[in-house]
Amino acid sequence: MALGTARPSPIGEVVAAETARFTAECYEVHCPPPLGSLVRAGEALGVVFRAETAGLEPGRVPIARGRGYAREEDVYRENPQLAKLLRTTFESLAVGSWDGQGLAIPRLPPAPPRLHGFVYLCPPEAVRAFTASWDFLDRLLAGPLGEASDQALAACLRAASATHPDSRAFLVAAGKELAPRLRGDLPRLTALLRGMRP
Amino acid sequence: MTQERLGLVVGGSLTRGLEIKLDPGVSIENMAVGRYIVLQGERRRFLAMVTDVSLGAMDPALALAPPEVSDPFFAEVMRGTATYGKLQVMPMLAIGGDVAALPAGPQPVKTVPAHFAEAYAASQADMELVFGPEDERRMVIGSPLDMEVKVCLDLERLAERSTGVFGKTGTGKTYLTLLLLAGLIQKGKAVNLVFDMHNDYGWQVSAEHGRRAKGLKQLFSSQVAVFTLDEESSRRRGISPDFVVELGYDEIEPEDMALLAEALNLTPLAVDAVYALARRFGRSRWLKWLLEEGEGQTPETLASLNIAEGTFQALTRRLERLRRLPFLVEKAARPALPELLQYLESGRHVVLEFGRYDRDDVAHILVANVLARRIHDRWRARCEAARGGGGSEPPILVLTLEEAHKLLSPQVARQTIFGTIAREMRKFRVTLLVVDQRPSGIDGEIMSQLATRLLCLLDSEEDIEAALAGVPGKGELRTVLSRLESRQQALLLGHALPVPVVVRTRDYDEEFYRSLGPARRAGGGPPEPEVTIEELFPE
Ligand SMILES: Nc1ncnc2c1ncn2[C@@H]1O[C@H](COP(=O)(O)OP(=O)(O)OP(=O)(O)O)[C@@H](O)[C@H]1O
Ligand SMILES: [Mg+2]
Repeated sequence: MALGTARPSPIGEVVAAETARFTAECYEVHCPPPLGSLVRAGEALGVVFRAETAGLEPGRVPIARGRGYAREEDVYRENPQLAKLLRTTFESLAVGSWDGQGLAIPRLPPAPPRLHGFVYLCPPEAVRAFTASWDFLDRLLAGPLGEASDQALAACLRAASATHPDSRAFLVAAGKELAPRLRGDLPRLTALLRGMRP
Repeated sequence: MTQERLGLVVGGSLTRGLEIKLDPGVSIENMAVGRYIVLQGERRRFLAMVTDVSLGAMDPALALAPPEVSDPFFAEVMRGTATYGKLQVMPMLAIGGDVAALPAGPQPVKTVPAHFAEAYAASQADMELVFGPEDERRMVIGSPLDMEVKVCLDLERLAERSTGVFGKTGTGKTYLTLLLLAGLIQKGKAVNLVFDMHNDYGWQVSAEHGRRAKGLKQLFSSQVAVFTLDEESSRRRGISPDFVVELGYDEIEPEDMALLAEALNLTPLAVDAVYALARRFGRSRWLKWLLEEGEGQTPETLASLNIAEGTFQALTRRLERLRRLPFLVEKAARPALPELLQYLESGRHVVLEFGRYDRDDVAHILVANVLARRIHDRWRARCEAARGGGGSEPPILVLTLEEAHKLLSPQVARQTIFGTIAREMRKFRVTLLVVDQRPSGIDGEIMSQLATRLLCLLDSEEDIEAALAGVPGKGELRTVLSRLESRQQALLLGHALPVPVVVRTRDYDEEFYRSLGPARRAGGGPPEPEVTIEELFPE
C-alpha cells in the first residue's frame, strides 16, 4: 500500500501521545479531520474518534460574543483575535502502524508518535488497503469512549466504503463482521449499523 | 478444484444426522432438502444428503426484539451472522480422501467427520464418482437438484430385482417408467412385458396440452410388439397391433376366480364352488360348462357337487359378467400365449394394451394373471432345465404393472402369480416393475421385496410410510419425499443406486429419443439397439 508516497501537506501536529492513542492540534482552527478519518503520525496509524476546540489559555474560558449580530460569521469578523485564542485538537485511536516501506500493518507501533510529529490524512488508496482486512475493528470496538468511538467506527466504515468498488457490499461485509463480535449486545450492534447504513 | 464452502459441522451423530452451521455468505434459500453436500473430514470425504433446513439465532433477544429488518441493509447483515442457517444432513457414503485418488470406491458410512469439518456443495466429480458414468449398464435418469451433473441408474441391478415406481397422479410415473423401459430395452438388460392398463406405452403416450410423446413401439419398431385386448381401440389410436389377444374359457383356472372374488363380488362359498366344479369337470373345462350348461342344473347335480343352490345361482349370475368381455371366448382362435412366448423368448418386448378395458378391474386381474402365470411357468421350466444342464437360462423378464395395487393388494397378494414372483425374487429370472399411485394399497411383504424404489411426490402419510418401509434413514427421507415438487422430481433409492438421491427426472423428449438412436453407433459405442438385443438373446 502506498502510504504517503506523494508528499501531502500535514493537517496538524502531535501534541500528546501514548501507546494506544494520540492527540494532535490542527493547523486550522475548526478544521479537524472528519470523525472516523484514517490518519498517520510517524509510524502510527489512527482513526479519529474525537475532536475539540477550546480556548488556548487554560484559565480563560470563551465567553459569548454574538449578541446583536445577525450572522454567526460576523462574530469572527468583528473579533479577529478570536482565531488566535482558540485551538482545535483531535484524538486518534492507534489502530495500526506504517512499516516505513509504505505498508500498513494491523498492529500498534512499538512506540507512540513523537510530539510535534506531523499528522497526515491517509489518501483513499491507503484507506482501501487498510480496510481490506478487519483487524482494526476490534481496536475500535474496544475504544475508550463507548458510544462515541462506536460512532467513529461507523463513520470510518462509511468513509472507507467510498474507497471500495462496491461500497454497499463493503458495508454489509463489515456489518457481518461486527455482528458476531457484538453477540449478546443487540442494542449496540443496532446502533452501530444505524450509523453505518449506506 | 475450488468448491463453494457452505459451512461447518457443529454437532450431530451418525444415526441422527449431522448439524451444519451455514457460513454467513451462504443463502439458506438455496439449500433444498434432498440436495447433496460433501463434508471434508480429515482422512475422507463424506457424501451427505440435506434432510432439514432451519434457522438459528445467536442472541435470544433477537427473537424478542427483531431489529429493523424492514431495512434491507439490516436484514442482509443479520442473515448468517446474528441469525444463521442450519442444515441437518445425513451422511450416506464415505468417498476416500481425495476424489481423484479413490481406488476403493465409495464406502458405507461407519463414522462421522470431526467437529468443524467443512461442508461444500457436492461437485460434479463427487457425483460422477458416486453414480458412475453412463455406460453399457447404466443410464442417465436425471440430475440432482440445482446441479448439472447426471445421475445414473444401474439397469442391470434394476432388472435383477423388483422395482416400484410410486407417486400421486400426474407426478410423472408413466414417463419415468418409459425412461426405464427404454433404457432396459436399449441396453439389453431385460425382456419386457408391459401390462399397459391405460394404453400409454405402445405407440404414444398422451401428455397435457395436446403434446404427445413416443411409445416404445415408435422408439424400437420391430423390437417391440403391441398386443391388444381391444383391436378397435388400438386402431382408433392409429396402431395396427401385432396381435389381438383372446383368452379361452379353458385358460381360466379356479385360482383366478379366487383373485377375482372381490372384483366380481364372490363369496368364499362361491369360490369354493368353483374349485368343486373344477374338480368335477377339469381345470380347463369348468368355466365352459358353467357358462354354457350351468343354467337349469338340477338340484341333484348340485347336491352331488356339494354346492348349495343359492351359492350356485349367485355364482352363475356373477360370472355372466365374464361373458360380456369380448376378448374372453370359448376357445381362442389363436391362443395368445405361444405367440407371446415366442416374442419374449426371442428377446423382443411386448406391450399389452387394454384398450377400452382401462378401468375394468376384472379384465386387469384376469388377463394379467392368466398370462403372467403361464409365462412364469415357462421361465421357471427353462431356468430349472438350465440348472440341470439343459439349455441356456432365459433372459431376465421384467413384468411392468400399472395399477399394481389391483394385483398386489394384501387381499390377493398371497394368491396372485405376481405375489409369488415378488417373493421368490430373481430365482427364475422374472422380476416386477410395479407402478402405482398408492403404495399403501400394496401388500407390505411385496413392498419389502421392491429393491429399487423410484418415488415421486406422495401426499398421504400412509403412502409415504409404505413407500419408505424398511428403508434406512426413513425418518429423514420422509421429509425429503414430502417436499418433492409435484412433477418430474423423484427420490430414487435402493438396489440400483449407491445412495438415495433426489433428481429432476430427465426429459422424455426428442433429445432422449435421439440419445437412443444411431448417434451412439456413430461414436463407436455399442451398436444400434436392434442388433444388441438379437446378439444378446439369439433365438
Ligand atoms: N420425464 C418427463 N419428461 C417430460 N414430461 C414429463 C416427464 N415427467 C412428467 N412429465 C409431464 O407430466 C405429465 C404427467 O406425467 P405422467 O403421465 O407420467 O404422470 P403419472 O404419474 O403417470 O400420472 P397418473 O397417475 O395419472 O397416470 C406428463 O403428461 C408430462 O407432460
Ligand atoms: Mg400414468
